[in-house]
This record gives sequence, structure tokens and C-alpha cells, in this order.
Amino acid sequence: MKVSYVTAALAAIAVGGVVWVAQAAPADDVKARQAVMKELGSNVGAITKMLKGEAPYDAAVAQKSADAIAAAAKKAPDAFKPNTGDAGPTEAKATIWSNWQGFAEKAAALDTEASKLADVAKKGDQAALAEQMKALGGTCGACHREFREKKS
Amino acid sequence: MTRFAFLLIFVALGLAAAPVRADDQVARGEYLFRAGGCLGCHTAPGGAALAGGRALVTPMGTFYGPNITSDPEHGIGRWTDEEFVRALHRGVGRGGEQLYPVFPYPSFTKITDADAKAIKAYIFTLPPSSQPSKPHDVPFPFNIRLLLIGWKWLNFSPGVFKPDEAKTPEWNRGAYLVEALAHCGECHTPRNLMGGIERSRALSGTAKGPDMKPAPNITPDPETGIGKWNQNDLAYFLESGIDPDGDVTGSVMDEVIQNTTSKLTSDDRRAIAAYVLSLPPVVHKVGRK
Repeated sequence: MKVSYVTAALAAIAVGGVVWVAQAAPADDVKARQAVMKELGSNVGAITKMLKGEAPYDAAVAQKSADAIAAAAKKAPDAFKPNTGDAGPTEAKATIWSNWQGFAEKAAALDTEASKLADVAKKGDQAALAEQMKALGGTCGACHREFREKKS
Repeated sequence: MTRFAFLLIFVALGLAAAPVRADDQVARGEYLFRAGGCLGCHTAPGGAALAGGRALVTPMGTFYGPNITSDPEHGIGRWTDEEFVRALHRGVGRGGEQLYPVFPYPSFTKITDADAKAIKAYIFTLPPSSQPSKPHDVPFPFNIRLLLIGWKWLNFSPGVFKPDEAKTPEWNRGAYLVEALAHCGECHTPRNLMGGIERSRALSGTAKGPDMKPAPNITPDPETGIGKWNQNDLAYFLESGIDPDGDVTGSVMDEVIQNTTSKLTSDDRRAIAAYVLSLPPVVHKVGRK
């Protein structure tokens, strides 16, 4: 009988541990997601700054930023995959997970346009880069419109 | 010199009295139609263009944009030019009925007669739809249209846009686009308890914007508005939806950019930006829920 008390106690600790992990994980997931989105934003900002004439055009910076955007775009679907939690302060709408198919399509569109952006950046053609940046922005906006609830 | 500037302003506004050929008028109408953002509120998601049915949730109830195709029965096919201009300028329907200001005639009243007629000419080249307009879902007392006469007396000042000759043609063009056609203030300006626009706080944002969602402060206040943006930033945002931080809008503004501002000439976007950034900054933090 004593053994079963111990088992029960151990089980309780184990369950407690799992619950603790389950509570801790979403916040980290949310942070990881936000890091991916920030990575996209800062690099889009770096390129558009040059396209607007706010900074001199530098093909190397454009290339580096476009590569970073393409890499971050690849991380997006995983960063949002089910059970990554919608706990804590997040702008992610629950419809991401109730309409995963729809979200995955938007994420795939981002991936496609981001890869094209990296290719265009290689060629160093500023006008083409400007056009492709608008195509990329279109995929960002389409997804934000459906799946983001801006809070700040 | 002043005369020359004035002439430029007139040309820029399309006020030139020279007779216009019909196809020129339609082409101009198409551009102005885009600038006016007519499509959004008069088209249901996935529905026929301008056939109506798009819901707009407001504190006064839910309104449905009516069918404004050239269908004679369910659209505006029987409307004369004068009736169309009167609706835009005075908020009065074909049968003399008072129109709800969810149709932004407090802004459209500033559109010139020639521009209004060009918009109608373009609309009449689009395919008609026989889809009946959906009745508004508006509770008492807002369902009494006659009350709108009082509302207008308190909240509506009719009159076509008058250029300010002390300003540049670019500024005046921007002012005309922002105040008359693009009707930016209909979403971005706070409203009083009656739903009237609070002109003294123009474009300073509201927590209850379209579909009861917040519309940001777009006056050039550096902290609560867009004072850190310059003309390039704002013009580029209106073209691409990408803000200076590299973030991309996903709100109703995304639709406005797609249907309206991205379709304008780059000069017009720059004019809008010049005008908006010249306005008095208003400190007004628009909270989100």
C-alpha cells in the first residue's frame, strides 16, 4: 500500500510538472513567433528604406535582408503550428488554428514571394526589387487581414 | 504668379470648363471612382461589383451598401446626373428621401460637379446587376429617416471644395483627395454622440472605426499619430501597405490600399501625404481592446 502512495505522489509530481511545462511553453512559443515576425519586419524595413530613397541603395544590404526574409518566411508555418498556444499577449487570432488550411496557404504564398525576393535581390535590379517587394507586401497584408488582431 | 498658381490648381482639380469627350469622361470617372473607394462599401465579399450587400456595423446599427449598378429596377439606372450629384452633395435620394450619413456625403459634398458626373458615367459602363438592395438593420429611433433632417442641420455643412490659393497646387490636390474623394476622415476622425464628425479633431483616430474596430490617429503628432513618418513613408505606405517599421497593415486599410490608394498616380499619393502631414498634430491615443 505504501508503494502506491509513493507512486501516487510521484504521479502527482509528474502531472504537476507536465502542467507546469504546458503552461510555460505557450509563452515561449508566442515569443518565438514574435521573433520570426520581427525578423521579417526589420528586414522589410531595411529594404523599403532604400526603395523610398531614405537610405542609399546598397545591393549587399538588399541581398542580406532579402535572404533573411526568405529564411524567416520558411520558419513561419512551424512557428504557428497547432499547440504553439494562443496564451498570453498575442495578436494571433484563434482562426489560425480553426482554419489551419487557410493559414497554411497564406504562409505558402509568403514563402513563394520571399524566395522570389531573394532571387530578384541577387540581380541587383532596384526597379524589379521594388515590384517584388510590393508582391511580398501583398502576401503579408492578406494574412494579417485574416489572422491578426492588432492590439498596439 | 498667384494667377498662375490658381490656374494650376484649377487644372489639377479638373475644374477646367472645356467640354470633355465622352470616353475621356469615362476614363477620368474610373480614376475618380477608385479614388472615391466606392467599390468597397457597395460590393459584398465575393459578390458582383457595386451590386451591394456589404455590411457595415456602426453604433447606430448595421447598414448594407445598396446596389448602385446601372440596373434601372434595383440600381441607379434611372437616376439623372443631377440626382446623382444631389445624392453626393446633399445626402438626398432619388425620391427625395434622406440618406444615412454612412454614405459619406459629408465628404462627397466637396466633390466637384464635373467629377461627380464623371464617376456616374463610369459606373454606367459597368455591368448592371438585378440584385435587390438589402434593407438596413437599424433599430428605433435611427430607422426614422426624417430625423436625418435635424442631424444634417447639426452635423453637416454642404459645399464643394474650395482650393486655398495661399497653398501649393500639390497641397490643394492632396486636400481635395483626402477631404472629398478618399473620405479619410469618415473612418479616422472621431465622431460625437450623434455620429457627426468632430472637425476640430480631424484625422486623430477613433476606437470605434469601421466595423467598430479602431482607426489610428493619422495626424502628425510624433507620439500618438504618424509624426515620425515623412512624405516618402506615407506615400509608400499608401502604395504598398508597408509602414516605416516594415510592418504591413492588415486592417480595413489593407482594402483601402488595394482598391484605392495603390491605384492612384504616385503624384496623387505624394499629394495626399503632403496634405495629411501638414495638418495640425492632435494628441490622441487610440486604444485598442
